[in-house]
Amino acid sequence: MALQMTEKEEGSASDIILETRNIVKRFGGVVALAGVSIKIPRRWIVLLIGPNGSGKTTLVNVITGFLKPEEGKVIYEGRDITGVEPHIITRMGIVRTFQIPKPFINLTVLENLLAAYPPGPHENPYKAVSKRSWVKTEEEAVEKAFDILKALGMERAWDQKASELSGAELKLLEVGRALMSGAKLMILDEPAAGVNPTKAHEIFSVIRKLREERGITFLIIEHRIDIASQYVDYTYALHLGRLISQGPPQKVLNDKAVIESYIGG
Amino acid sequence: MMANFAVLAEQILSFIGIYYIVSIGLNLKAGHMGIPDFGHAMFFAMGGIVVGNIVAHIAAAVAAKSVPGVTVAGVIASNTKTLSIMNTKFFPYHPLLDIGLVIFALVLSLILGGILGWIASLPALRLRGEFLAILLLTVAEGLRVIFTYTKSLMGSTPTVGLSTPALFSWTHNSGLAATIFTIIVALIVYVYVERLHNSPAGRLFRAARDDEDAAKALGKNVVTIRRDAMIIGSALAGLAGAVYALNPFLGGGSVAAVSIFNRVWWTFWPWALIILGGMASNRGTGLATIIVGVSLIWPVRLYSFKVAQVLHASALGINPDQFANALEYAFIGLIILIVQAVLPRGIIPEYPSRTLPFEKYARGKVLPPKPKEE
Amino acid sequence: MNFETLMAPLYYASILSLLSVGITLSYMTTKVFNFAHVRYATVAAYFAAATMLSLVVHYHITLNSSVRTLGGMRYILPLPGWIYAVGFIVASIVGGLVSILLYYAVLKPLERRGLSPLALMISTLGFDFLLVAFLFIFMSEKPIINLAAKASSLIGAVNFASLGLDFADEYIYIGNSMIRGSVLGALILAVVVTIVLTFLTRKTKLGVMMRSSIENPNLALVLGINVDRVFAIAWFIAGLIAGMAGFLMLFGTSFLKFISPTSPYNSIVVSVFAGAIVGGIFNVEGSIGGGFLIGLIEKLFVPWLAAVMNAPGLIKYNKVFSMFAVALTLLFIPEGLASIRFRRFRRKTTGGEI
Repeated sequence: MALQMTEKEEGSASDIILETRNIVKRFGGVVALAGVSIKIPRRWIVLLIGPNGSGKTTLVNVITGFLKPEEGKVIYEGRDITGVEPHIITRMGIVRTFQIPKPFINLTVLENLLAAYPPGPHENPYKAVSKRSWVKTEEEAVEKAFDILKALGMERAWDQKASELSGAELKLLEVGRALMSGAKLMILDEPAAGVNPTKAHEIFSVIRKLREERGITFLIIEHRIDIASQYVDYTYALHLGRLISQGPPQKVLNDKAVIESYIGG
Repeated sequence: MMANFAVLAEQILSFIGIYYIVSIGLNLKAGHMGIPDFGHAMFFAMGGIVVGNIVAHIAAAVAAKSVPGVTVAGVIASNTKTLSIMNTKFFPYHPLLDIGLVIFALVLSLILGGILGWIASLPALRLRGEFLAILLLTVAEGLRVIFTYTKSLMGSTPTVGLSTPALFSWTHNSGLAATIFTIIVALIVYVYVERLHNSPAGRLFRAARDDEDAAKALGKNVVTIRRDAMIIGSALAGLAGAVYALNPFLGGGSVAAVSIFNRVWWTFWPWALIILGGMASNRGTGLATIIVGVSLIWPVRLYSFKVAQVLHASALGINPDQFANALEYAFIGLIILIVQAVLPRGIIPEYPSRTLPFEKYARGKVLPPKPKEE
Repeated sequence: MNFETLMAPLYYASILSLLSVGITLSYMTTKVFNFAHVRYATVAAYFAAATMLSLVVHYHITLNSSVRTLGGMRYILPLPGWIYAVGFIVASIVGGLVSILLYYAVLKPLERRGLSPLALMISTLGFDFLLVAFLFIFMSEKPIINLAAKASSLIGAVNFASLGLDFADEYIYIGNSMIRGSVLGALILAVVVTIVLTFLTRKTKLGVMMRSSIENPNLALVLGINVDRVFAIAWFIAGLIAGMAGFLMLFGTSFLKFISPTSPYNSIVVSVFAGAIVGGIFNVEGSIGGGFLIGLIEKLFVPWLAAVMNAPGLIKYNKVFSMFAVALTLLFIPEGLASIRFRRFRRKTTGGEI
C-alpha cells in the first residue's frame, strides 16, 4: 500500500516513524480491526477519522500497547513494538493523551508538567531529604517546563491549580505533559472535543507550532473534521475496522465511501 | 502554682508532639497518597511494643549482671516488679545506656513500623477506596487481638500490659526531659515531611494520588509509589508509638494493647486532625494539632471531670465520668462533621511542592525581564 | 456438642447477620460504608429499655411471683408480653429514625457539596461519635438505673447490673431441650428478615425502584423515580433491622456483652463489616449469610478447632479468623464475592419489570 504523498512540509515520506501492518483485533466474535495498515511519516500531522465503533480507539490502544493484536505488527522507528508493555512504549516516545483530560487536579500547572518528567532516581522518596540527589534533574525539568508552557501559550498560568483551568487549557496541559515526558510521536484523542471553535483553532495552531518548532509527529483522532482538516497533512478513514480511504484531507472528505460511512452510521 | 503550670504545659506539649507525629504519618498515606488507612493504630502499636517489650528485654539482659532481682525472663513473668527495680536501681545510674536505648528504640520502631507498612501495602496495591479502608481496619483489629492475648508480646494481663523502662530517669526530671524529647522528635519529623513534600518524590505522591491512569501513561510505576508512601507513613506511626511509650505523660509508665491499639486515639483522632488541618498539608496538620491539643485534648483528657462539675452535670442526672467520655466523642464527631461541611479543604489547604524557587525561573522565562533601574 | 452449647453461636450469628444486612443495604444504595450502623442497635436498645422500664413503673406492674435467679445472676424479670412488644416496636422505629437522620442531616448535605464516598464514610464515623456522646450524656446508666430501681421495687428483681443493661431471658421448652427466648427470637427474626427482604427487593414496586435506582440513578430519575426517597427508605429499613437486633441484645447479654454506649459495638463492629464483605456487599441475601457464617466461625468453628487441637487458648483469637476471611475475600475474589454476585444481580435488573 503506497502512501499517496502530497508535496507538503519538510518531512520526507520515506522517513516513517510509525507503521502498522495488517493489524487484526477481535473481541470475542466481533472483529474490531480487520487488517489495518497505516504509515505515519516523521513530522507529519496525521488525522484518523471514522464513525463511532469504526475501530479508531482500538487501533490507538494496539499502538500504545494497551491491547495485543491477534495478527499484524506495529513498527516504531524500525523496531517491532507489538505487545510491548504500555509504560515501556511511553518511554520510547509514543505518548497518548486521553479524550477526557486527566490532569493531576490538585497540582499546579507547573507541577503537572514537572511530574510528567521521565521517571528516574530523582524521584526516590528515601533520598528526597538530600536535595543534592535531585536538584540537578529538577533544574533541567523546570527549565524545560517553562519552555513548554511558553510554546503552549500558558506561561501566565504556571502557578494556577489544574482544577481552575478551562476545558481548552486542560487539553493543552495534556499536550504539555506529553511533551515533558519526551514524546516524539503524540497520539491525541479528540483534542478539540467539548471546546468552542475559536479555542479549537487555537489548539490546532499550537499543534502546528509544536510540529514546526520541535519536530513532533502527531496522530490525531478527531470528530470535528471541519476544523481539524485545515491543519493536518494526511488523513486515514476507518469504517467497521477497515481502512476505507486515505490521502490529503480534502480528498478523503469528499470520498463517497467516507461520506456513506458517516451517513450509514 | 508555677510548678502546676509547668506540668500542665509539659503535658500539653507532649500531647501536641505525639499527635503531630502520628497524624503526619497518616497524612502522608491518606493525604499525600490517598490510601485510606483505617488501621493506622497498628503501626503506632509497633513502637509501643519496641519500648515495652524489646528494649525492656535488652535492658534487663544488661541489668541482670549487676542488679539483684532482675532477670530477662522476669520482664514478662513478673513485669511490674522487674521494671520497678530497673526503673529505680538501674536506669537512673546509666545515662549513656539509656540514651543508647532511646536511639535504638526510635530506629527499631521506624524499621518495624516500616516493615508492617510494607506488608500492609501488598493488599493496598490491589484494592482501592473504602474496601481498602475496611480491610486495614480488620487487619488492625486482628493484630490487636493477637497482641492482647499473647503473653510473650504484651504480658499476662491484657488491660495492664507492660511497664515501660524509665529511660529519662537519669535527668531527675523525667517529665520535662521526655517533653523536650517529644517536641524535638516532632520538630525533626516536621522538617523531614516538609522536605519530602518539597521534593520531586513528594510531588509524585500527590500526582499519582490525583490520577493513577495519567501517572501510568507517563511511565510512572504507581505500585512502588504507593508502597513507598505506605512504608514511610507507617514508619512515622511506629516512631510515634515509641515516643508515646517513652514519655511518662503519655503512656503513663506502661503500654497495653488496649491503649496502643486504640482505634479512637490512634486512628480516628489522627483522621480528625488531618481533616481539620487539611489533607496533604503538613503545616495544617501542625496547626490543627496545636489548636486541638491546647483547646480540646487537654481539658477533655485531663480535666473533663472538672468541666462536668463546673457545668453541674450531675444535677442534670448526668454521671460526671460518662460526661467526660462524652465530651471527647462529641468533639471528635463535631470536628469531623463541621470541617467536612464548612471547610472541606481544611484550615491550611494543600500547597504546591516547592522544589526550587519557581518565581525566579518564571521571571526569567515567562515575563519580560524587569527594566533595569538607572 | 449438645443443644445448649449451640445457643451462643446461633444467637451471635443471627445478630451479626441482622446487622450485616444493614451495612449492605446502605452500601448498595449510597456506596457508603456506614460506621454508625452498629451503633443504631445500641441507641435502640437504650430507648427500648427506658420505655419498658417506664411502663413497668407507670402501670405498677407487680410480678413478684415470677422472680427467677439463674446461676446467681442479676435480672430484670420477665415482663408481660405486651411490654416486650412495645419495646420491640420502639427499638425498631428508633433504629430506623436514627438512620434517616444520618441520611438526611449528614449524608445528603455533604454529598451535595461533592464529597467523595470515602469522605462520606468518614462523616458517618463523625455521626457515630455524636451518637456515643449522646448516649453517654443523656442515656448514661444513671437515669436508667434510677428507672430500673423503681421498676425492680415493683417487680422484685434481685439485682441490676451496675454496668449496663441486662434483661432476663425467657426459656422455652421443646420436649426435653430448652431454648432461650433471645436465641429463638434472633433466629426467627433473621429468617423473617431474609424472606421479607427477598420478597421486597424482587417482587414489589419498591424493590424494582430500588434496584433501578442502584443500577442507574440518572435513568431512574428520568423515569420519575425519586431516587433520594427510595434510598432513604432503604436506609430506614436498614436502621429498622438494626433496631430489632438492638432489642434482642437486651436479652442476650450473657452471650454477647452488656450494653453500654461503646459496648458491644467495639467488639462486634469489625465482625459485622466482615459479614457484609464476605457475604457480598452488593447482595442482601448474601450479607445475611455472610454475617451468619462469620458468627459461626467465631463462636462455633474456632471453639471446635480449639477443642480438636487441644489448644483452649485459641478461642480468644477468634477475631483473627474473621480477619482472614475478609482479607481472603477481598484479595482472592477481586472486589469480593460482590463482583460475581453483582453481575448476576445486574442481569436480573436489566431484564426486570421496568
